[in-house]
Amino acid sequence: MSEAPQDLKVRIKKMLVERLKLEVDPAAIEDDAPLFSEQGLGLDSIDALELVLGVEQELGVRIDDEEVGSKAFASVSALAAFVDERIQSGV
Amino acid sequence: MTSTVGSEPTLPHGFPFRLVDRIMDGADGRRAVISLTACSPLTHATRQGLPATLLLEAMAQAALALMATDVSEGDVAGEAGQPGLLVGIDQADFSDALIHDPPGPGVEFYAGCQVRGRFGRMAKVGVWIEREGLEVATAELLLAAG
Repeated sequence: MSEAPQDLKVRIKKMLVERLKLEVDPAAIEDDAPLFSEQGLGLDSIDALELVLGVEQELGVRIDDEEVGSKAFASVSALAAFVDERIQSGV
Repeated sequence: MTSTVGSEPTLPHGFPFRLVDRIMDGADGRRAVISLTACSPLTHATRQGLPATLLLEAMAQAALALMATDVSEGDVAGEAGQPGLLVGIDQADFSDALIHDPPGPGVEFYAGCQVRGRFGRMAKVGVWIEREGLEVATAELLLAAG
């Protein structure tokens, strides 16, 4: 059974802060804020790799290429939807 | 190492900054050979103790040279002779003896690597250096295609 969407978003925010060593309260990250933009968290390509590893190791979902990753990493909401869809489809 | 067949590493570095001599296949897998020769900057550096910075450079070169021999890792390692970039170092650990009482010319180190993950042009790679079967240095390196 998949996790409730809000719980999954909370887990993702916690993972972002812990793995990327962000100096921000996980609760302060907005669901729809862009992850890779100065208007959002301002992550870079090094963070992207760490995020790929985090999603794989902590959420059990693989991100195989940049095209998929760039869509999934648009925001916490987008990443939660991507992870949920992958879990539902058993990929 | 059981194999005596070595191949030239695919690296853009030239003397004196090429720290990997050759790639070898042995019973434990593929390894990059780092030799302490009389001319090696590693050997000269050992007079005051082996600097960790040079060891990390050797580990990065070893990882890129090893990855270049694997077709599946080719886009991160770059095309033959193209530079890869060391962009991050994590969990670096060196044996005290290696740093403070380093070996002299004639010694060979063997470096191995394992790709932990990759995304686009970036790869996180676990790298280790062995001497006489013992692990003397380990690190997780972040490498990018140049």
